[in-house]
Amino acid sequence: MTETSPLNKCMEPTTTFGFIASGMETPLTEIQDFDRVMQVYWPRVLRFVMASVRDRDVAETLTQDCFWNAYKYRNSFRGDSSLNTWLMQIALNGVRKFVRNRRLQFWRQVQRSAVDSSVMSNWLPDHGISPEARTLVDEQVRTVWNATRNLSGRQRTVFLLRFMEDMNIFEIAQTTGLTENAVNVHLFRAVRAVRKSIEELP
Amino acid sequence: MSEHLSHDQITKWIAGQSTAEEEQHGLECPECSAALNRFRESVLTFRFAMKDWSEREIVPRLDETSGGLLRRHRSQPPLRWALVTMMAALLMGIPIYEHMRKPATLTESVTNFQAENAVNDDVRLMEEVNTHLSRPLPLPMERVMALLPNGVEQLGLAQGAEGTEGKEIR
Repeated sequence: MTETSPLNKCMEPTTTFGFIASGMETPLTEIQDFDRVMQVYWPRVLRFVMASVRDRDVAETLTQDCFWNAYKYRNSFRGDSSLNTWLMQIALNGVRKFVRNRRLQFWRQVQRSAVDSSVMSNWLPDHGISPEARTLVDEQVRTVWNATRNLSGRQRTVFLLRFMEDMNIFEIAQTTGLTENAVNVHLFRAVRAVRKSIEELP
Repeated sequence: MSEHLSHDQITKWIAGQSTAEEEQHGLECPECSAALNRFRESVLTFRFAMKDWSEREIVPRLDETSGGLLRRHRSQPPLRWALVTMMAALLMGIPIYEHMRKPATLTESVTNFQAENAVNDDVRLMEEVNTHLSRPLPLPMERVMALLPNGVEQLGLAQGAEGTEGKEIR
């Protein structure tokens, strides 16, 4: 068994896992400059929450809540895990709470600003690619977006943390509170489901 | 390993759960690599799109976040406010209603009591009148007659005889 995925070798390296690359600060010193923490981690938390709840307004609110809670309880952060993992834990708790409330409030139209897969096309920057290539890219993004929607909550979380946030199994286990074996099982199932959707692409 | 990787083996390989032998085969075999590349290309595009979108979003400053949160917590949704107002009105209304209701009940009961008393007085008066009229003798005479043995009967007989005589005289 090997811990490294062939995908990682091909993906561009992510900045850090808990350490801001330039300064190589420890998580405890890093958290002191909270404005900088927000600059670095806000996009990560936002896209993770967005891909989890699929509602732009809710994603922004939950991200705001995540950083507000992190700021309030920053003194209780002992640096046992990386700052990235800690923030993702807080964000995931927010997502879980939101999903639980949404289940209870099923009669309400919660997803007023829900993101449809067609809207995602507008997110893609135009880097001067041809219309044909653009169509293909749109289709790929939409396929993965729709495939992750059909995953169970845990499978989606594990998939997003692994392939969107590039976290390793240990970090995912820390963030989700699952064992590494459980993470592997959820990841395997998630990859199998997403692969099935991708293979159905023309 | 001469055979191609199975669907699940490729999935394990993507998930980083394959054996060294499977991984080696995957890297060397064009067909198995194609399956990996297909997945990788789609996931990378998705990842790039999400990353690009999230990094284009404006990151608020901490004071803006806290200010926004405080405002958000302060401004409750209208429905919630309506419910709170209704509950408050209900809680305040119940004692007021009870308070307003109690004097009315008292007045009613007093009126009823007075009316009942009036009826009872009338009944009592009528009974007294009936008793008075039904007496064979006036009240002072009854005491005297009580002293006589069989006074009332005798008197009644005597009165009857006298009455007859009297009628006859007339």
